[in-house]
Amino acid sequence: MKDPITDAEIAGLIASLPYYTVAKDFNRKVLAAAGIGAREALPARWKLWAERAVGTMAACWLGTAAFSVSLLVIMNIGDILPVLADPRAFSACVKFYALKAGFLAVDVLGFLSLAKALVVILAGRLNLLPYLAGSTLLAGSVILALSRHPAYARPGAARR
Amino acid sequence: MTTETDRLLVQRCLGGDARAFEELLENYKNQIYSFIRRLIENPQDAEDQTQETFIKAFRRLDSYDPAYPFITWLFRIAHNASVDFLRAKRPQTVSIDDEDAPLELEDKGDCVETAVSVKMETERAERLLASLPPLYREILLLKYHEELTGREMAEVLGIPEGTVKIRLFRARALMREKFNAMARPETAEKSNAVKNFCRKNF
Repeated sequence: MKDPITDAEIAGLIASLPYYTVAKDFNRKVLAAAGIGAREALPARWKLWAERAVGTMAACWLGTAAFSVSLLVIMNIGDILPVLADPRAFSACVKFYALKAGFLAVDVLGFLSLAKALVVILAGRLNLLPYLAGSTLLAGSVILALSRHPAYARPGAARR
Repeated sequence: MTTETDRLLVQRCLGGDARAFEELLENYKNQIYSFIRRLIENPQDAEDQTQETFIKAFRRLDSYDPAYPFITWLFRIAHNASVDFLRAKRPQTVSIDDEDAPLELEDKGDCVETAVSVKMETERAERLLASLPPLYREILLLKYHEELTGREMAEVLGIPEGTVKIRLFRARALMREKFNAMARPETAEKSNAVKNFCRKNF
Protein backbone atom coordinates (compact mmCIF):
# COMPACT_ATOMS: atom_id res chain seq x y z
CA MET A 1 0.00 0.00 0.00
CA LYS A 2 1.39 3.39 -1.04
CA ASP A 3 2.12 5.73 1.89
CA PRO A 4 -0.36 8.62 1.96
CA ILE A 5 0.98 11.93 0.82
CA THR A 6 2.04 14.09 3.74
CA ASP A 7 1.03 17.70 4.37
CA ALA A 8 4.58 18.76 3.61
CA GLU A 9 4.44 16.98 0.25
CA ILE A 10 1.10 18.61 -0.56
CA ALA A 11 2.63 21.97 0.31
CA GLY A 12 5.64 21.21 -1.87
CA LEU A 13 3.48 20.12 -4.82
CA ILE A 14 1.39 23.30 -4.73
CA ALA A 15 4.37 25.58 -4.07
CA SER A 16 6.22 24.15 -7.06
CA LEU A 17 3.48 25.10 -9.53
CA PRO A 18 4.76 27.72 -11.99
CA TYR A 19 3.14 31.05 -12.70
CA TYR A 20 1.29 31.39 -15.97
CA THR A 21 1.98 34.48 -18.07
CA VAL A 22 -0.59 36.79 -19.58
CA ALA A 23 -0.71 37.81 -23.23
CA LYS A 24 1.69 40.51 -24.43
CA ASP A 25 -1.03 43.10 -24.97
CA PHE A 26 -2.55 42.56 -21.52
CA ASN A 27 -1.20 45.81 -20.06
CA ARG A 28 -2.40 47.83 -23.02
CA LYS A 29 -5.94 46.44 -22.72
CA VAL A 30 -6.17 47.06 -18.99
CA LEU A 31 -4.79 50.59 -19.21
CA ALA A 32 -7.10 51.40 -22.12
CA ALA A 33 -10.12 50.07 -20.22
CA ALA A 34 -9.10 52.02 -17.13
CA GLY A 35 -8.75 55.18 -19.21
CA ILE A 36 -4.99 55.52 -18.70
CA GLY A 37 -2.74 56.27 -21.66
CA ALA A 38 0.03 53.85 -22.52
CA ARG A 39 3.51 54.69 -21.37
CA GLU A 40 5.18 57.22 -23.70
CA ALA A 41 7.81 56.08 -26.12
CA LEU A 42 11.36 56.03 -24.78
CA PRO A 43 12.73 59.06 -26.68
CA ALA A 44 9.73 61.17 -25.60
CA ARG A 45 10.34 60.24 -21.96
CA TRP A 46 14.02 61.14 -22.19
CA LYS A 47 13.11 64.39 -23.93
CA LEU A 48 10.64 65.23 -21.16
CA TRP A 49 13.22 64.44 -18.51
CA ALA A 50 15.80 66.63 -20.25
CA GLU A 51 13.32 69.51 -20.62
CA ARG A 52 12.42 69.31 -16.96
CA ALA A 53 16.07 69.17 -15.93
CA VAL A 54 17.01 72.20 -18.06
CA GLY A 55 13.92 74.09 -16.91
CA THR A 56 14.69 73.39 -13.26
CA MET A 57 18.32 74.48 -13.61
CA ALA A 58 17.37 77.62 -15.52
CA ALA A 59 14.78 78.48 -12.88
CA CYS A 60 17.39 78.04 -10.14
CA TRP A 61 19.89 80.31 -11.90
CA LEU A 62 17.29 82.96 -12.68
CA GLY A 63 16.07 82.82 -9.12
CA THR A 64 19.59 83.24 -7.81
CA ALA A 65 20.20 86.18 -10.15
CA ALA A 66 16.93 87.85 -9.18
CA PHE A 67 17.72 87.37 -5.51
CA SER A 68 21.25 88.80 -5.87
CA VAL A 69 20.14 91.85 -7.84
CA SER A 70 17.27 92.64 -5.52
CA LEU A 71 19.52 92.24 -2.47
CA LEU A 72 22.10 94.59 -4.01
CA VAL A 73 19.47 97.18 -4.80
CA ILE A 74 17.86 97.00 -1.37
CA MET A 75 21.20 97.25 0.41
CA ASN A 76 22.18 100.34 -1.65
CA ILE A 77 18.75 101.94 -2.00
CA GLY A 78 19.92 104.98 -0.11
CA ASP A 79 22.56 105.68 -2.75
CA ILE A 80 20.50 104.60 -5.75
CA LEU A 81 17.41 106.80 -5.28
CA PRO A 82 19.19 110.19 -5.40
CA VAL A 83 21.04 109.10 -8.53
CA LEU A 84 17.80 108.10 -10.23
CA ALA A 85 16.27 111.43 -9.32
CA ASP A 86 19.12 113.39 -10.96
CA PRO A 87 19.41 112.64 -14.76
CA ARG A 88 23.04 113.87 -15.08
CA ALA A 89 24.14 111.87 -12.04
CA PHE A 90 22.23 108.88 -13.41
CA SER A 91 24.10 109.08 -16.72
CA ALA A 92 27.48 109.35 -14.95
CA CYS A 93 26.51 106.48 -12.69
CA VAL A 94 25.58 104.25 -15.64
CA LYS A 95 28.92 105.01 -17.34
CA PHE A 96 30.76 104.32 -14.09
CA TYR A 97 29.12 100.95 -13.58
CA ALA A 98 29.50 100.06 -17.24
CA LEU A 99 33.23 100.66 -16.87
CA LYS A 100 33.28 98.61 -13.68
CA ALA A 101 31.43 95.78 -15.44
CA GLY A 102 33.95 95.95 -18.26
CA PHE A 103 36.85 95.55 -15.85
CA LEU A 104 35.00 92.68 -14.16
CA ALA A 105 34.46 91.02 -17.55
CA VAL A 106 38.18 91.32 -18.29
CA ASP A 107 38.93 89.68 -14.94
CA VAL A 108 36.46 86.87 -15.65
CA LEU A 109 37.96 86.31 -19.11
CA GLY A 110 41.41 86.21 -17.58
CA PHE A 111 40.21 83.65 -15.04
CA LEU A 112 38.59 81.56 -17.77
CA SER A 113 41.74 81.56 -19.92
CA LEU A 114 43.75 80.55 -16.83
CA ALA A 115 41.27 77.74 -16.16
CA LYS A 116 41.50 76.70 -19.81
CA ALA A 117 45.29 76.61 -19.66
CA LEU A 118 45.11 74.52 -16.50
CA VAL A 119 42.70 72.07 -18.09
CA VAL A 120 44.92 71.77 -21.17
CA ILE A 121 47.93 71.00 -19.00
CA LEU A 122 46.05 68.49 -16.89
CA ALA A 123 44.37 66.91 -19.92
CA GLY A 124 47.76 66.57 -21.58
CA ARG A 125 49.30 64.91 -18.59
CA LEU A 126 46.42 62.92 -17.20
CA ASN A 127 44.23 62.20 -20.21
CA LEU A 128 41.38 63.84 -18.38
CA LEU A 129 38.65 63.35 -20.95
CA PRO A 130 37.88 59.67 -20.16
CA TYR A 131 37.70 60.51 -16.46
CA LEU A 132 35.34 63.40 -17.14
CA ALA A 133 33.18 61.25 -19.41
CA GLY A 134 33.03 58.44 -16.85
CA SER A 135 32.21 60.78 -13.98
CA THR A 136 29.48 62.50 -15.98
CA LEU A 137 27.90 59.14 -16.90
CA LEU A 138 28.05 57.97 -13.30
CA ALA A 139 26.52 61.18 -11.96
CA GLY A 140 23.79 61.07 -14.61
CA SER A 141 22.99 57.45 -13.77
CA VAL A 142 22.73 58.21 -10.06
CA ILE A 143 20.42 61.16 -10.70
CA LEU A 144 18.26 59.10 -13.06
CA ALA A 145 18.02 56.16 -10.65
CA LEU A 146 17.16 58.36 -7.67
CA SER A 147 14.57 60.36 -9.58
CA ARG A 148 12.72 57.13 -10.48
CA HIS A 149 12.84 55.61 -6.99
CA PRO A 150 9.37 55.52 -5.36
CA ALA A 151 10.82 56.99 -2.15
CA TYR A 152 11.47 60.24 -3.96
CA ALA A 153 8.21 60.28 -5.87
CA ARG A 154 5.82 63.14 -5.41
CA PRO A 155 3.52 62.19 -2.51
CA GLY A 156 -0.06 62.24 -3.69
CA ALA A 157 -2.96 63.29 -1.51
CA ALA A 158 -4.41 60.07 -0.07
CA ARG A 159 -8.13 59.89 -0.53
CA ARG A 160 -10.42 57.68 1.52
CA MET B 1 7.64 43.90 -4.03
CA THR B 2 7.60 45.06 -0.44
CA THR B 3 4.47 46.25 1.29
CA GLU B 4 6.02 49.70 1.77
CA THR B 5 6.80 49.99 -1.96
CA ASP B 6 3.22 49.01 -2.77
CA ARG B 7 1.86 51.66 -0.41
CA LEU B 8 4.02 54.32 -2.05
CA LEU B 9 2.87 53.23 -5.49
CA VAL B 10 -0.78 53.32 -4.39
CA GLN B 11 -0.27 56.83 -2.98
CA ARG B 12 1.26 57.91 -6.28
CA CYS B 13 -1.67 56.37 -8.16
CA LEU B 14 -4.11 58.28 -6.01
CA GLY B 15 -2.08 61.40 -6.68
CA GLY B 16 -2.68 60.92 -10.39
CA ASP B 17 0.51 59.11 -11.45
CA ALA B 18 -0.65 56.58 -14.03
CA ARG B 19 2.80 55.02 -14.28
CA ALA B 20 2.55 53.87 -10.67
CA PHE B 21 -0.52 51.80 -11.55
CA GLU B 22 1.26 50.36 -14.56
CA GLU B 23 4.07 49.31 -12.24
CA LEU B 24 1.62 47.59 -9.89
CA LEU B 25 0.01 45.91 -12.89
CA GLU B 26 3.39 44.67 -14.15
CA ASN B 27 4.34 43.32 -10.72
CA TYR B 28 1.18 41.33 -9.98
CA LYS B 29 -0.52 40.46 -13.25
CA ASN B 30 0.98 36.96 -13.62
CA GLN B 31 0.34 36.14 -9.97
CA ILE B 32 -3.34 37.08 -10.16
CA TYR B 33 -3.75 35.45 -13.58
CA SER B 34 -2.26 32.16 -12.33
CA PHE B 35 -4.59 32.19 -9.32
CA ILE B 36 -7.70 32.88 -11.39
CA ARG B 37 -6.69 30.45 -14.10
CA ARG B 38 -6.38 27.61 -11.63
CA LEU B 39 -9.91 28.36 -10.46
CA ILE B 40 -11.58 29.04 -13.78
CA GLU B 41 -9.28 26.87 -15.95
CA ASN B 42 -10.20 28.36 -19.32
CA PRO B 43 -7.22 30.61 -20.26
CA GLN B 44 -9.25 33.21 -22.15
CA ASP B 45 -11.89 33.51 -19.44
CA ALA B 46 -9.15 33.68 -16.82
CA GLU B 47 -7.41 36.51 -18.69
CA ASP B 48 -10.70 38.40 -19.02
CA GLN B 49 -11.37 38.05 -15.30
CA THR B 50 -7.80 39.13 -14.52
CA GLN B 51 -8.34 42.28 -16.59
CA GLU B 52 -11.60 42.89 -14.73
CA THR B 53 -9.77 42.46 -11.43
CA PHE B 54 -7.22 45.14 -12.22
CA ILE B 55 -9.78 47.52 -13.70
CA LYS B 56 -11.88 47.19 -10.54
CA ALA B 57 -8.75 47.64 -8.42
CA PHE B 58 -7.92 50.85 -10.26
CA ARG B 59 -11.41 52.24 -9.89
CA ARG B 60 -11.63 51.36 -6.18
CA LEU B 61 -8.06 52.26 -5.23
CA ASP B 62 -9.25 54.78 -2.67
CA SER B 63 -10.96 51.96 -0.74
CA TYR B 64 -7.67 50.06 -0.24
CA ASP B 65 -6.81 49.65 3.44
CA PRO B 66 -3.02 49.94 3.95
CA ALA B 67 -3.33 47.76 7.08
CA TYR B 68 -3.28 44.78 4.69
CA PRO B 69 -0.72 44.05 1.97
CA PHE B 70 -1.81 45.24 -1.45
CA ILE B 71 -1.58 41.75 -2.91
CA THR B 72 -4.12 40.54 -0.33
CA TRP B 73 -6.56 43.21 -1.47
CA LEU B 74 -5.97 42.23 -5.11
CA PHE B 75 -6.58 38.57 -4.29
CA ARG B 76 -9.84 39.56 -2.63
CA ILE B 77 -11.05 41.23 -5.81
CA ALA B 78 -9.78 38.27 -7.88
CA HIS B 79 -11.58 35.83 -5.59
CA ASN B 80 -14.87 37.74 -5.87
CA ALA B 81 -14.52 37.96 -9.66
CA SER B 82 -13.83 34.21 -9.90
CA VAL B 83 -16.73 33.29 -7.62
CA ASP B 84 -19.14 35.45 -9.66
CA PHE B 85 -17.88 33.91 -12.88
CA LEU B 86 -18.12 30.34 -11.58
CA ARG B 87 -21.62 30.91 -10.24
CA ALA B 88 -22.69 32.06 -13.68
CA LYS B 89 -20.99 29.16 -15.40
CA ARG B 90 -20.55 25.88 -13.54
CA PRO B 91 -17.12 24.47 -14.47
CA GLN B 92 -16.30 20.91 -15.48
CA THR B 93 -13.97 19.37 -12.92
CA VAL B 94 -10.99 17.85 -14.70
CA SER B 95 -10.68 14.11 -14.17
CA ILE B 96 -7.34 12.92 -12.92
CA ASP B 97 -7.51 10.16 -15.52
CA ASP B 98 -8.01 12.60 -18.36
CA GLU B 99 -5.01 12.18 -20.61
CA ASP B 100 -6.58 14.13 -23.47
CA ALA B 101 -6.24 17.51 -21.87
CA PRO B 102 -2.51 18.22 -21.81
CA LEU B 103 -1.49 21.32 -19.91
CA GLU B 104 0.98 23.71 -21.51
CA LEU B 105 3.52 24.86 -19.00
CA GLU B 106 7.07 26.13 -19.14
CA ASP B 107 9.86 23.63 -19.00
CA LYS B 108 12.20 23.77 -16.05
CA GLY B 109 15.41 21.75 -15.80
CA ASP B 110 18.57 21.81 -17.81
CA CYS B 111 18.42 18.48 -19.60
CA VAL B 112 15.61 16.80 -21.48
CA GLU B 113 15.20 14.03 -18.89
CA THR B 114 14.95 16.46 -15.98
CA ALA B 115 12.66 18.72 -17.96
CA VAL B 116 10.31 15.86 -18.82
CA SER B 117 10.33 14.63 -15.23
CA VAL B 118 9.61 18.10 -13.85
CA LYS B 119 6.91 18.69 -16.45
CA MET B 120 5.23 15.39 -15.58
CA GLU B 121 5.38 16.20 -11.89
CA THR B 122 3.94 19.66 -12.55
CA GLU B 123 1.17 18.22 -14.71
CA ARG B 124 0.35 15.72 -12.01
CA ALA B 125 0.14 18.50 -9.44
CA GLU B 126 -2.06 20.55 -11.79
CA ARG B 127 -4.43 17.62 -12.37
CA LEU B 128 -4.65 16.86 -8.66
CA LEU B 129 -5.45 20.48 -7.92
CA ALA B 130 -7.92 20.76 -10.80
CA SER B 131 -9.79 17.69 -9.50
CA LEU B 132 -10.69 19.54 -6.30
CA PRO B 133 -13.66 21.88 -6.02
CA PRO B 134 -12.69 25.55 -6.52
CA LEU B 135 -13.44 26.14 -2.83
CA TYR B 136 -10.53 23.93 -1.78
CA ARG B 137 -8.35 24.75 -4.75
CA GLU B 138 -8.15 28.40 -3.85
CA ILE B 139 -7.41 27.81 -0.18
CA LEU B 140 -4.50 25.53 -1.07
CA LEU B 141 -3.21 28.05 -3.63
CA LEU B 142 -3.44 30.94 -1.20
CA LYS B 143 -1.75 28.97 1.57
CA TYR B 144 1.04 27.13 -0.24
CA HIS B 145 1.51 28.92 -3.56
CA GLU B 146 1.02 32.50 -2.45
CA GLU B 147 2.10 31.92 1.18
CA LEU B 148 -0.59 34.09 2.73
CA THR B 149 -1.12 34.02 6.48
CA GLY B 150 -4.35 32.81 8.05
CA ARG B 151 -5.45 36.38 8.70
CA GLU B 152 -4.74 37.39 5.11
CA MET B 153 -6.61 34.37 3.74
CA ALA B 154 -9.58 35.23 5.95
CA GLU B 155 -9.50 38.76 4.54
CA VAL B 156 -9.30 37.51 0.93
CA LEU B 157 -12.09 34.97 1.28
CA GLY B 158 -14.28 37.03 3.59
CA ILE B 159 -14.55 34.25 6.18
CA PRO B 160 -13.36 33.89 9.80
CA GLU B 161 -9.87 32.54 10.48
CA GLY B 162 -11.37 29.46 12.13
CA THR B 163 -13.23 28.62 8.92
CA VAL B 164 -10.00 29.06 6.98
CA LYS B 165 -8.30 26.45 9.14
CA ILE B 166 -11.20 23.99 8.77
CA ARG B 167 -11.33 24.49 5.03
CA LEU B 168 -7.58 24.00 4.76
CA PHE B 169 -7.80 20.80 6.77
CA ARG B 170 -10.53 19.45 4.50
CA ALA B 171 -8.65 20.53 1.39
CA ARG B 172 -5.57 18.62 2.44
CA ALA B 173 -7.64 15.55 3.32
CA LEU B 174 -9.31 15.65 -0.07
CA MET B 175 -5.98 16.11 -1.79
CA ARG B 176 -4.68 13.02 0.00
CA GLU B 177 -7.74 11.04 -1.10
CA LYS B 178 -7.25 12.11 -4.69
CA PHE B 179 -3.55 11.36 -4.59
CA ASN B 180 -4.14 7.89 -3.17
CA ALA B 181 -6.87 7.21 -5.71
CA MET B 182 -4.46 8.11 -8.46
CA ALA B 183 -1.83 5.83 -7.01
CA ARG B 184 -4.23 2.93 -6.56
CA PRO B 185 -6.59 2.49 -9.56
CA GLU B 186 -8.42 -0.42 -7.86
CA THR B 187 -10.03 2.05 -5.45
CA ALA B 188 -12.33 3.45 -8.13
CA GLU B 189 -15.28 3.22 -5.77
CA LYS B 190 -13.52 5.34 -3.23
CA SER B 191 -12.67 7.84 -5.96
CA ASN B 192 -16.34 8.07 -6.86
CA ALA B 193 -17.19 8.67 -3.22
CA VAL B 194 -14.71 11.50 -3.18
CA LYS B 195 -16.24 12.99 -6.33
CA ASN B 196 -19.67 12.88 -4.72
CA PHE B 197 -18.21 14.59 -1.68
CA CYS B 198 -16.81 17.29 -4.00
CA ARG B 199 -20.15 17.82 -5.70
CA LYS B 200 -21.90 18.19 -2.36
CA ASN B 201 -19.41 20.72 -1.08
CA PHE B 202 -19.30 22.95 -4.17
